[in-house]
Amino acid sequence: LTVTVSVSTGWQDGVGMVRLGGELDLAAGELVSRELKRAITAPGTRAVRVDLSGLRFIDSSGMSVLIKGRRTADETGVAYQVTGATGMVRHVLSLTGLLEHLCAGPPADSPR
Amino acid sequence: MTRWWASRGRDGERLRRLGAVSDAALSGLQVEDMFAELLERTRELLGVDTATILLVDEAGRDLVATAAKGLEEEVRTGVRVPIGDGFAGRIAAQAHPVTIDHVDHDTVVNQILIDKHLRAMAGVPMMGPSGVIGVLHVGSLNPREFSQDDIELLRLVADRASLAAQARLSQLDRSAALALQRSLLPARPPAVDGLDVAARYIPGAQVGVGGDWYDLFRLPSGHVGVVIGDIAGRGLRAAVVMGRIRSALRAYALETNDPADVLTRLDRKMQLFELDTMATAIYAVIDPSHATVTMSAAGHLPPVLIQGTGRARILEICVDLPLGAFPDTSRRATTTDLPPGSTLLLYTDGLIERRDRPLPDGMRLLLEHAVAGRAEGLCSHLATHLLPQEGPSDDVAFLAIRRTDQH
Repeated sequence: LTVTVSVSTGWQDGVGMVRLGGELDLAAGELVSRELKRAITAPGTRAVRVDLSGLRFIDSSGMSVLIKGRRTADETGVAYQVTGATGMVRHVLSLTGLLEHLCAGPPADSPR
Repeated sequence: MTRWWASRGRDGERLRRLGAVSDAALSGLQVEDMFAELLERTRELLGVDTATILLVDEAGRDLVATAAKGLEEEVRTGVRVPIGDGFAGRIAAQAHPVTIDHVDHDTVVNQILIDKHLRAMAGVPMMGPSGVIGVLHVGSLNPREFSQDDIELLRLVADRASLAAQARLSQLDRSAALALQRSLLPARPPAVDGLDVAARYIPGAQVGVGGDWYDLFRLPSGHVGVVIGDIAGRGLRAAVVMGRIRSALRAYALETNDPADVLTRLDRKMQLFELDTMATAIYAVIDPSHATVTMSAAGHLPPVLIQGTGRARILEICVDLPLGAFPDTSRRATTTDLPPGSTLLLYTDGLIERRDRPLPDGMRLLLEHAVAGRAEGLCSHLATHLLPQEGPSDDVAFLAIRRTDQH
């Protein structure tokens, strides 16, 4: 399995920005999962934004990585927002009902 | 391999002898026999009294004695050493060689090593692609100082043993996962009067068996339950989890004919008992007259309905969050007519998603090739025209149900 994802993380005023590029699939899952967790649980983090604007491909295991991030954030009390989904990635997230859920701002009271 | 040859210096001869043994062993012997051979040869080459391989267990918490020469009781009694504790545990935790020149309760936790009256020990980590997978260590009954060359030789043996251990694991994993998947996904779904059903499961060329599944069963009420699903992950673990989730869904299906209710219960079960498992699925219930189908979707791609005339369309159904994603997700169901002669097609993402093609193109292609007629013919047609020549990279499942009764 070839990993074809890129991840970079930066912080500004307690907001972690995780930028994903390339393909978020089974091969990339573990790496991205770890990075999201690191960003969310870093001391002083208030919010994490996951920027998908460089992402070209996502499959079901990729979606589960984004959801796991959201769950970790909820448990940690950190706001979590997915932004910048375009093209194929946006299409998949919207067809599977995740766009609305993951791209909503700070965690709502109910999951939907 | 490069390092193997590059390090052929004055130890060339003993490395060559070791290399010969392990090459032959790698090609033919079972891994247990290969470990035994490697350890025996290591014992000779280093002039030590014991040689042992411990592998990290599934939970990643303990080292388990797997092969030993001169310390056979370690394996026989199933010695477990917590990672971080004692001699072997320290090597695994630090991923670094360790030597000790006295063996007592300060340096080891395993009583067998003390009872054996070992005086000096040396050990190295066995490395896999994502970290330590085990420890190889040797022991001497006489006082001894292990040299850097000794450690290098141990490292080479450990590399060989790691390769063999991983090859065995992935081979076992693959064949077990495939056997499990085959047993759970019958090639020919059960016959239901008035419905013509066909299905396909194709393992991924790169990932092997994954967690895709389909299911179809007749309920005592006369309803027919139809499932398509995709557990995130791959290999044996995904296949095992799929087996449990498939059974649980069947059990809940017996309790209610409301698919949203069934998926709500399944989701609750997964939140509690399948932590860190995520799945997308559609559960569809065809009513006893086969006139309508009621579906609940959990983060899954929408089904296709092919009319008897050949016109195909994507069904617009409510899609709720995947299973196992968040507690207390509310779920909805959508009811659609299933006219006589029409076909309902359920599929997993591998059928239409490609890295080199926009999703709408994949969907358009699916609709183009969603031909009317026998379910088996449709499945063959889709497999031929939608899957890449070299086989799909991800695993793929799809299921077609055509209504053959006329009233």
